[in-house]
Amino acid sequence: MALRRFVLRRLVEIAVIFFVIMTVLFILFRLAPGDPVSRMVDPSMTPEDARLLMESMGLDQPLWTQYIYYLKNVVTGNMGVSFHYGEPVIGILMDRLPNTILLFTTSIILSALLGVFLGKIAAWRRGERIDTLMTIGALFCHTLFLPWLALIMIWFFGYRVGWFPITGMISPEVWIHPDAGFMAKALDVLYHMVLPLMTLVLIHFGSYLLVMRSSMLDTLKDDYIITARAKGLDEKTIRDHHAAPNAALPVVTSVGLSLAFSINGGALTETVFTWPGIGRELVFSVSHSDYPLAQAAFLLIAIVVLVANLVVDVLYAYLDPRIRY
Amino acid sequence: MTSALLEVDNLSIGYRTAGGISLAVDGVSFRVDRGGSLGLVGESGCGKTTIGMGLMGLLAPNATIVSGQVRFEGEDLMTASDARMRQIRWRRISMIFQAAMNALNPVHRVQDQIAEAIITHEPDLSGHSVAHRTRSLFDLVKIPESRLQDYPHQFSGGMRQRVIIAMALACNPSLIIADEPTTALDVIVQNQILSAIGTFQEEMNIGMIFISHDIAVVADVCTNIGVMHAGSLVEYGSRQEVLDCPGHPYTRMLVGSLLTLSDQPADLSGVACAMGDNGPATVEGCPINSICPDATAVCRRERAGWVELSTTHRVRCSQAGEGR
Amino acid sequence: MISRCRWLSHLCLLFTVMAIMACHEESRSNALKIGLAEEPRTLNIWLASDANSRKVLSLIYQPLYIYDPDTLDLVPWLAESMPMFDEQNLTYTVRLRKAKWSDGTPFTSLDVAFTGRLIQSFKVPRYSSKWKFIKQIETPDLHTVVFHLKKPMASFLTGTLFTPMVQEKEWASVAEKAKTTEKPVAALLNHRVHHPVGTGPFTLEQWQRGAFLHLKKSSYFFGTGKTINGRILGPYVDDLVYTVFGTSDVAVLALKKGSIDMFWWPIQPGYLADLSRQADIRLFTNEKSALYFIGFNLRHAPFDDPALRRAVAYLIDKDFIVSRILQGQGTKMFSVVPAENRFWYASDLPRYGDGLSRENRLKTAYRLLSEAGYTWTVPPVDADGDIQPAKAIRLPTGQTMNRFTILTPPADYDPHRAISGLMIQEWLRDLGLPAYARPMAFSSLLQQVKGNHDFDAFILGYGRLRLDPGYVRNLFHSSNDKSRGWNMSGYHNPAFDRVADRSVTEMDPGKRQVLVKEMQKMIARDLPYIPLYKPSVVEAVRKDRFDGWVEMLEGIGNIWSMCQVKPVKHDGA
Repeated sequence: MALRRFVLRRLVEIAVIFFVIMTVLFILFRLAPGDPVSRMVDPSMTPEDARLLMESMGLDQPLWTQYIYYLKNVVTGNMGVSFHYGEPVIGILMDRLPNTILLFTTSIILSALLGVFLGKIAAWRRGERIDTLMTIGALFCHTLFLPWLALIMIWFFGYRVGWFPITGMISPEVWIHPDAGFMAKALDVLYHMVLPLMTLVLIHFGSYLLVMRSSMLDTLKDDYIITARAKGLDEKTIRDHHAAPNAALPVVTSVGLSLAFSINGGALTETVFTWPGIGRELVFSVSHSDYPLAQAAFLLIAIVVLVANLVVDVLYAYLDPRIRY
Repeated sequence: MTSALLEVDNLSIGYRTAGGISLAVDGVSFRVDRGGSLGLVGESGCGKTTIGMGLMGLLAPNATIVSGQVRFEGEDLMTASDARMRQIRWRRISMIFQAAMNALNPVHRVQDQIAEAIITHEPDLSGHSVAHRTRSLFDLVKIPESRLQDYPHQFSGGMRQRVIIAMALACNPSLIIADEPTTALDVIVQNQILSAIGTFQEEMNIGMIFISHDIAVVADVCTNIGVMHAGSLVEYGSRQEVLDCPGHPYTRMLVGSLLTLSDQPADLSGVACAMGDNGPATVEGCPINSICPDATAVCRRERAGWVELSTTHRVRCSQAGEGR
Repeated sequence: MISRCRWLSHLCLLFTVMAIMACHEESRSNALKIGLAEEPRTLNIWLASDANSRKVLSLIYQPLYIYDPDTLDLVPWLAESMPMFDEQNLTYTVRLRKAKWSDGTPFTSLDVAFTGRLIQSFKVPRYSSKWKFIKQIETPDLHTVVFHLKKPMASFLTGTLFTPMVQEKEWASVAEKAKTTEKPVAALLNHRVHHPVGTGPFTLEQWQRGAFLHLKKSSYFFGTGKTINGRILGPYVDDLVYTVFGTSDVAVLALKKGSIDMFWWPIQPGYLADLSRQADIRLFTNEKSALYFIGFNLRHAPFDDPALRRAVAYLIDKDFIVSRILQGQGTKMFSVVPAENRFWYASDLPRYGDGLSRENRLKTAYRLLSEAGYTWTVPPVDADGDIQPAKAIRLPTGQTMNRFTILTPPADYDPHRAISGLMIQEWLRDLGLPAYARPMAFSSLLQQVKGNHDFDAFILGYGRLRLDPGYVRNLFHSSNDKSRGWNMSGYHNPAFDRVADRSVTEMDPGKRQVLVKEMQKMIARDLPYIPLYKPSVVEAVRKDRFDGWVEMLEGIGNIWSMCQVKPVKHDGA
């Protein structure tokens, strides 16, 4: 099985890259100015208190010892304990990961679907007003500043007309209620997801639209489109069945990679919408020098990106029968 | 003489350019009988493919039919609606595409691509019958059934071309336009494909327009031959007539190249040069007057009209019929 | 076309459902909804280092004494009365109230002793130094605790007695287990607390991580119905619900919409105009126990010269900083102890340049430096006493003064400090001083100033100074002049050290007060730091929902407020 060999080879590569990333991360965080303690202390704290704090975090050890300890942790899958949460970082991240995946995966898939759908139409009606409108619209949305757009959305839909909750992922009112069932809770999460989803889709669909449009324009010049016409197929079938599947291949690649990067969660989106995901943890852990948490978060992202690359390659082979490993 | 399947009368097709419409096909007339076959020969770019596409109503957006009449099975295709044209395509007139083209969609299985043509035109057919027909088409072109599930890229060039032939036959059309179906294939495969096409055409009594730059190939499969040069037909007649006594100097050059295979090949470069960028001649007079050995002052001044050499053989050359 | 219509109708349906849900949300509960800027990190009182965890835990775990909101005096809380000092034996005796833990068991002196011994044996960071001078904790009966001190320690009254008390029943087994591990402290700090048991007015009901934290009124709170310090304590609300807002913009919107009743976080000046126009919003402005200052490196030229530092003090226009940069939301400072810390604050310190015009500041500073031996190629004040652009200032040694930098945090971290740095740069340049303000990432700044001592001057601040003035010693004692030590300026003054050391062990508050004021005087004279300002804390609440907020230093977010806040009675409700 060529595919299996390919996957195995890639897995070995991934392991090597992972080790490099791991080491670089460790060094980077130690090189970065500041330490976890300097933010926790105030001048009423005696030097001894500060020392005890360092000790409790294992930061009094020499760097080599810390590195070995860190390696041991990574290998055993126990990524250490967060300085601020006092909990295993794996648990913290696994708590947040589903939230991030839920929001960002949904948003990427929605924006890709929307982008592919509109891009298809734009290319099909190239040069017409609808094409110009969509292309300009896509570029416009794509260049919007995300936090700004998010705030505008919150202000308008959350505050001005008040259709949606302002931020967060769930409403305490619903969850505190003793009779709240699973459906009520699921609906509540869905309801909170609308605004961030709309924002993310608005920001992201444009790039998919543009990729799809240009790819579709290329595809429409392909010979098999003439074949399809000669076969007497109607235009919609030609567009949707013959041109679009071929044109969508580059979109699939970019979707795959976006999915991977989406788990860092767009720290900005998560912050503005107070979405309890990985991105907010990442920002917090870096700004507070919570080394174990930050390292684990970055490693998690690295793993997902690496694996997603592999999955995209395999998926590509599945979608495009010409590609075999 | 059998009844006419397709009659093309004075067809002109032009491309819109910045400087107005430039003619790619200039006043072409011919007919194809039911079960008959016409070979269109000429340099690449002389307008043969444009004719094929024009008949199917598949011209590029910037091309337009300037004038002329096309009657297919008694129906005027020039005035047919888009919907009607879609019905005619493949069901009545199908195409065998250039072998060098990516005529098959890379992301669909070949069986689905063939079935799609059938389903489109015979929507009432059961899935079972469609599958059955697809299998028998594969049989016909001698591809093992096991490969129905394959994707186009898994076939060799020759096999792919056979799939395309199978696809062209899928709806029992009455006319097939084969556009350079063997170009880019090696000689052995080319012969297989040609004989396959010839067989089906005869057995199934299908009319065919066979487009090629290679008069040898056309001579193999066609009963009639039209020689095209710079957008115009310059000679039209039965295979015998055209090959044995070519009336037009250009035809003579083509035939010469065919006959002198063993000797020194005929020099056609002059012809190509004279045509400039292969478009229709804009110079006055006969387009090949500069390289024609028999060119006279008349040739340089005006284009010749048709000269009938026999009831089935005509030539567009002022010198023709005057004996040599 | 048909499919498009269906799409539209689906969309309409969706929006209708949303709108209905939105209406449903309007229905009001009686919970006090509090907005936080960040999620609490932990419920482990020993680990909690972030302000937001403390905003929850301070309502659960209670100390023996708390501060009076108006006078900042000690108020017996879990204690019944003021501590009795036995000077002879160096003991303090504290009588305890009859209080109960939130699980219904009684709070006793054994719990107090347990808490102290836990801190001592684990050397719990942040608390250890407040307990290590305690020799012995005696419990003659269940409601009396006697603390035996090794030596006189002033921070007993201001530190030790403010330690939150934990329950022996809850923590004994945790401690036992932690002791058997490789790293006992880490094990204790990282113990995950799911149901904190405290003596406070509220208990944890539910913590939905990443979403909200729900506190419920404790039925065992000792203060309920009692009058303590002239206030009848509640709590009068049944539920507190904390939610988090990633940005202030959104929190302010939530407040305006009524999604929260209080935002437990300072409101930035930019929002004040809008919020003060809202009919249902009430703003509270309070002072902070804070210190923002410019500090100098006394280890090398040019700021090793007190005359230069004094001249700089004259040049800095604190009124300008407060009125223009802070937009009035703050007060100028003249001592390193905030004026609101009334007991310890020395009010009779020199106020360099206070009230002078820019021209007079310059002239005074010029005179000061001329007298100290500084010279100019072109002096800032000409022979006729008129101001002119100064050129090339020279040190008393005759050397040209090298350019120096004023490090500040970057504008995105704290615009006030960054802009103040720029203003000070301009004022110093009036005098010909080659000053360059340089914003620097906060961590790098700390590293450079505190770690490497590689700087000329810097602007930093402490937003939450404890009321105990122990930090004055920490900041300027010569023994703290080391890498990562608190004496970042490198201030060495044996006289100061002596007074400071005495202040640590002076048990008599009155005598300690004199020493602390003496220390402030020395700092104001030598100026290793020039105090600049402290920002006010402005908080916003919905006045149509709750009232009874108690204002004190640091604002309304305090235990007094949470024991006093009542729902507003609406007509007909």
